[in-house]
Formats: sequence, C-alpha cells, structure tokens
Amino acid sequence: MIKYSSGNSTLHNTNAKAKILAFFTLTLAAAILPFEYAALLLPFALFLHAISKTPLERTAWKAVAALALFAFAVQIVFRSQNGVYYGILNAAYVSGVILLAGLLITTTKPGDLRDALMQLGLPKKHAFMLTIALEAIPLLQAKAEKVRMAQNARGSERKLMPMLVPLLHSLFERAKKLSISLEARGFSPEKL
Amino acid sequence: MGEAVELQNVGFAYAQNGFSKSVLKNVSFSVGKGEFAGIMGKTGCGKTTLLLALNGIVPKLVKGSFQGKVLVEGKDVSQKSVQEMSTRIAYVFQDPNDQIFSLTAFEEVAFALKLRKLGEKEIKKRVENALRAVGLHEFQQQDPTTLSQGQKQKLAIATAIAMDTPIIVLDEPIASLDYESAKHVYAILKKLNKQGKTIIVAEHDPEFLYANASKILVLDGGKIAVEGSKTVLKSKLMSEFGLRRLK
Repeated sequence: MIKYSSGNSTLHNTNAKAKILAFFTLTLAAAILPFEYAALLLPFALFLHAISKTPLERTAWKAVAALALFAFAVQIVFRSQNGVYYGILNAAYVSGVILLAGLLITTTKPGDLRDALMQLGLPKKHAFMLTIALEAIPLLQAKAEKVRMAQNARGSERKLMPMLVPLLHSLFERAKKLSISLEARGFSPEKL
Repeated sequence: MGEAVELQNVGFAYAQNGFSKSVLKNVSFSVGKGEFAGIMGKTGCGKTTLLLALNGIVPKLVKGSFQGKVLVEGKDVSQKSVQEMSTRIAYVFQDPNDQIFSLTAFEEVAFALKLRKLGEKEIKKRVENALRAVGLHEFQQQDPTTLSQGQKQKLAIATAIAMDTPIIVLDEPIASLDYESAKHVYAILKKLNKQGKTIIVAEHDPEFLYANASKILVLDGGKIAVEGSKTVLKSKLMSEFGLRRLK
C-alpha cells in the first residue's frame, strides 16, 4: 500500500502545492507529447524515488507492474505496426505517472496534501471526505492483515471472498459509528 | 446542586430486520451535577444504549422504539438536536478507532471546536491544554492511527476535555487497555471530576468504578438491579454479583 513515509529528503521538504502542480504539469505535458518523450517519465520518476529514499512496498511494485503490462497489451492489441515498440513506451509512461503519484503521496504528509489541494481550489466538503478516506486506508490495511492472519490460523488459503466479507462489514460498521461520533461532536453536513 | 442527568421510565427496543430487541426497560435514575457516576453490568445489558440516550443519539440516530424521558440539566433531550446536545455532553466511545478520523492528533481534538467557530487562538489553547492533560502534548502532529490503543483512548478523552462540556460520558474507556493505562485514564477522569465536571462511565470491571465513582448503578437485563452510593452497594455487589475484588 502507498502511504506517507517520514523522511528528510529534498522532496519531503518541498512545498506540497509545488509538488501537486509539478505532478499535474508533468503528466499532462507527457500526455500531449509524443510517446518517445512521455516514456522519459519513468527514468525521471525512478531517479526521484532514489533520492527521496522512500522505498515502495512489494505490493505497490506489483500493482505498477500489472498496470504497465496492461498499458503494453493495449498498444499490442490496437496498433497495427510497431506494437511492441509503442507498448514498451506506453508501459514506461504509465509506470512513470503511477510512480510520480506514489512519490507525491509517500513524501507529503496527508494533512499537507489536503491543505494544498484546498488552497488549489478543492471544496471544503471534498477535503473533509478526502481526510476520512486517507485516514481509513491504514485502518483498513491493519484490518485486512488481522483478517488474513485469522483466516490463515484456521487453515484457510488466500481467497478473496473470505477476506472481503469481514473487511466490507468492518468498513460499513466504522462508517456507521464514525457518523454517530461526528454528530455527537456537533457535526452536520451544513456546517461544512 | 441540581441534576445533571435524569432518566424517567426510559425504555428502548432496537428495530432489527423487522424484529424488535428490547434493551432498556423502564429505567429511572438521576446523576447530580459534579457527581462521578458509574454504570455497571454484563456485556449486552444495555449500558451503551443507556449512555447513547443521554445526548439523544438513541433514538434520533439509532432506529428503535423509545419510551420515557431524558432530561439533561432539566431540559428534555427529545426537544434538542444531537448537535445542540454536543455543547452539554461530550461522548467518548468504547473503541477510539470508531471516532478518530483526523490526520493529526491536533486536528482530531480541534474538530469539534472548529465546528463551534471558535477563534484560531482559542482552539490552539484548548487543544494544547487538552492534549497536555492526557499526556499527549508531544504527539500533536502525529497521525492518530500510529498511536497505541491506550494513546488513542487518551486522545478520544482529550477531544471531550477540549469540548469543555459540563458532562462527560464514557463507554468502557479502559476496555482494551493495560492496567497502568487504565489507572492513568481514571486519574484523568478523577481530576476532571474535581474540576466540577459530571462524569458518567459505563464499565464492566468494578474495580476502577468502585475506587472512583460516588454513585454506582448496576444494569441487568435492561433494568436497574442495584443503585446507590458505593457504601450501600458494597455488600450487595459482593453478595449478588460475586464481585470479590472490591476493597
């Protein structure tokens, strides 16, 4: 899972707003430019990852690889000529974008990210939803780990449904209890 | 000294998939202003439901049939919204993970204060004082999910302290804490009580309640089984409920 990792690199100390603007400028520019240039996003993102010293978890790398493979396959299927060549470039572009997005998240405190998005025009209501979503990620991750251990302890193999049901249940339970606790502290949607 | 909280013949049955499950039956009791009251009973006896009725969450946000009347500082809770009640009663949930949602400990405590549109300086002062009171001052900018369970519980209590309500209600605040953390939580509550706050705690462990509460009531099957000062209760609790650890 991709989440903030504390550190003292140049990227960690760069202003969150500047990082968001740089991310969108780079990815949009790469989308407009020819594939050959867009593919340069990957080495650039790898270089930034190296200097930020925030290694991604294995699962995150797997997700990047899966999406890169999909981007490669799209070019193979839809291009009549040079499918492999454009497939590699497209895979590099997609991986670059995902790694840059990951870098933005891993080097920016969630609170700073939300505040910067608000300064850039994100409505308060959406910022509030983003806060809850960002905070729910590590909780869900911890819950998933507990469910997995409980399943393994009972001799269960890795299966999606036995994992999904208790996870969804706990997600809905948390949503219900959180909404009650917010109201008990004086919250109402109109107040945002 | 008037009554902080008064329940008059309160009954509640949860509505579940077309069925009705009765949890409170004709409960009447009162807690005076500045009192430290404890509600005891086995799991499922109705403690949480009773606490949720105090600020109107039951029946306003929880489906079910409600009878009776709840008065807080002499005013009928049914006539007030849960948001209005948040200025009189602060509620601390049993599992802090159910209420913590902010990205830093500071923001979590400041949440209710921002809703009240307090000034930034006032918010900062209250949040810092509340976090200091529970020993979490140095964790202000920390992500709450990275705190230990005991620290999360203290953070939840800090949110209640910062709200500065005359009444603080806590649902089994030490349920998942170790003995030392539990002792610290009760020391904080005792201090708040000495400052004049009315404290109402639901607990299944009698030890801490007996040491701190001036008034205890025992719920059994949704009804009040025993009620009174701890002196009156001591023999009853020991004989009827088999509680042998009371000193």
